[in-house]
Amino acid sequence: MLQKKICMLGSFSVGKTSLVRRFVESIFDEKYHTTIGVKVDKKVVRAESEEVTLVLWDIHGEDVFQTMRMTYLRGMSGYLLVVDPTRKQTLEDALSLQARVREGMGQIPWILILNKCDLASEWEIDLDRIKILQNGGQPVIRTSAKTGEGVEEAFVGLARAVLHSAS
Amino acid sequence: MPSQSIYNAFLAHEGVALFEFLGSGALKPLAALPEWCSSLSLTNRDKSFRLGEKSPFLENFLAEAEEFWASKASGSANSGNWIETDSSGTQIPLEASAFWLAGKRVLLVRNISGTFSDQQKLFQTARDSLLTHERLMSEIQKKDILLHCIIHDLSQPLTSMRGCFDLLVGKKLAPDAAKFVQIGRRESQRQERMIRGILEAFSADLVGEPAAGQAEAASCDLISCAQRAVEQFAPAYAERGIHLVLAPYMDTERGWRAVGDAPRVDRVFGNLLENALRFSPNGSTVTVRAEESKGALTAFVDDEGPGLPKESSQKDLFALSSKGRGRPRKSGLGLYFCKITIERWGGTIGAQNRPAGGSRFWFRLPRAAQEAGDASEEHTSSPNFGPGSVSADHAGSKRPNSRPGR
Repeated sequence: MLQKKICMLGSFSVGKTSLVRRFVESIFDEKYHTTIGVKVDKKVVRAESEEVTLVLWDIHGEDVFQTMRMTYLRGMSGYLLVVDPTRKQTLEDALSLQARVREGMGQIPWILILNKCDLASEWEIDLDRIKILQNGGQPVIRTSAKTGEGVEEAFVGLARAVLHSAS
Repeated sequence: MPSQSIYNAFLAHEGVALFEFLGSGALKPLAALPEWCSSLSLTNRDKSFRLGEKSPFLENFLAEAEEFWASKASGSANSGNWIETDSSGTQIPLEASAFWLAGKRVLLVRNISGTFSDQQKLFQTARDSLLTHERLMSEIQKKDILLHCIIHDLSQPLTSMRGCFDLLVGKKLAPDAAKFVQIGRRESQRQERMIRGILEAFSADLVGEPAAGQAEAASCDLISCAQRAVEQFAPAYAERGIHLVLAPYMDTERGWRAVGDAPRVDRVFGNLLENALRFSPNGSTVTVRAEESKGALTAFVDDEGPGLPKESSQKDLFALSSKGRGRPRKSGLGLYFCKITIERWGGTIGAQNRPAGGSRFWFRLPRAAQEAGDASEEHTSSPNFGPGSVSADHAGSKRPNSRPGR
């Protein structure tokens, strides 16, 4: 079966692990458990009428204590760039990380994930910037690992984009 | 040389699996495999295997390791932490290193469960703290915006009022009307000071300025600040029949430069003088003076009022509250501002009853480095003081002697 490496990228505490857990195990834990290093999970999805095994690399968030090794991204087919819109700095950090990834890895399919959409009233990010990205053709999906909203759409959407890009 | 069994037992005890890299992704165990290897479906029966097929993470790291072995570099290549999950759902934190050993390309994979939970706790605490800090800063920012909006709205009508009073001052008015205009003008100025005090006390600018001990801290001439405050308050004191005196002081070759920026030290003096004015009886004297001691400069504001209530603590006096000294106060904002400002610069502030009656409010600031200057300090001519007491009643008049050494 076709396997594709998908990386979860973004600042700490934006919900990368929660999104993977929701997608793979249908579980959500309200408490924040920080990730150290990498955890790899797998899930089979159907996209573009074929089954694909997504190898999901949940990589620790970047902060003053840990920076991400670019070597983790070797062989990556696509990535979800996760932002916590209740913390506007996470959008800045995500876009800066995306620039580094593009520089190191070239153009690879990615989706900007605006997680925590169940907390939409507390969002602080500049939505005009998001619109500009969308108008430029960048896929953006609103998700909630808590409610499950948009989660399947995000992973399957990326799988489609990856397959489309490979074909 | 240790026997193979001791060697195996040691590695098992340390949770270490040792492999020789054979090329093309194939690895051969160099010792008995520890128990955790079963999570990767590795058994001691296997003579060689492709680790990459067992673990996507290791597959990724092997590519990095091959580059390292090919480079013939000394030292080792490290994978960083990752987690494998066994069939029962137990998570096993691992770490791998690649190095050359006795001419062999060796891969070491270690179970780091022993230290991982401590590391996890440390990072969890650190990141929780970062999140708390982020939330706090966000709240401060919101409050700061709100505060500036309120201040703006409060100040606008006041500015118009002051403009009107200023225009009226230049007109020929009846003595009574002129007096009322002066009162209106003075009170609107006071109101402006109070509004500015709110802004200064709560503004995030204050929160964000260099903390105590940092080299960037500004410096000011403490005596100049005292003199400006005395001059500013002289009319209000005179109107209440209270003498405001800037006392003679011991001059010092090193001058009176203290850590702190002049406009805020002016405000501190101003707030202390405003406080003293509120509690001083008619005919009494309020004295401002300064002293030097052990690398610090201390300023005092002594009054002859009722003194501090017995039950009041230092904490209460400078806390942000509506409770005051002796009798109800309009607001504890002035003294609160003094406290946070002085402490921000590494200074201390306090108050006590004087043996002769009345109260003494004081603050102590570290002496500024000799070369330190302050661009923000007003460039007025150096104040001249005579050898005796200087009364605010004469503020602005020419003083007889220059202060030596300044």
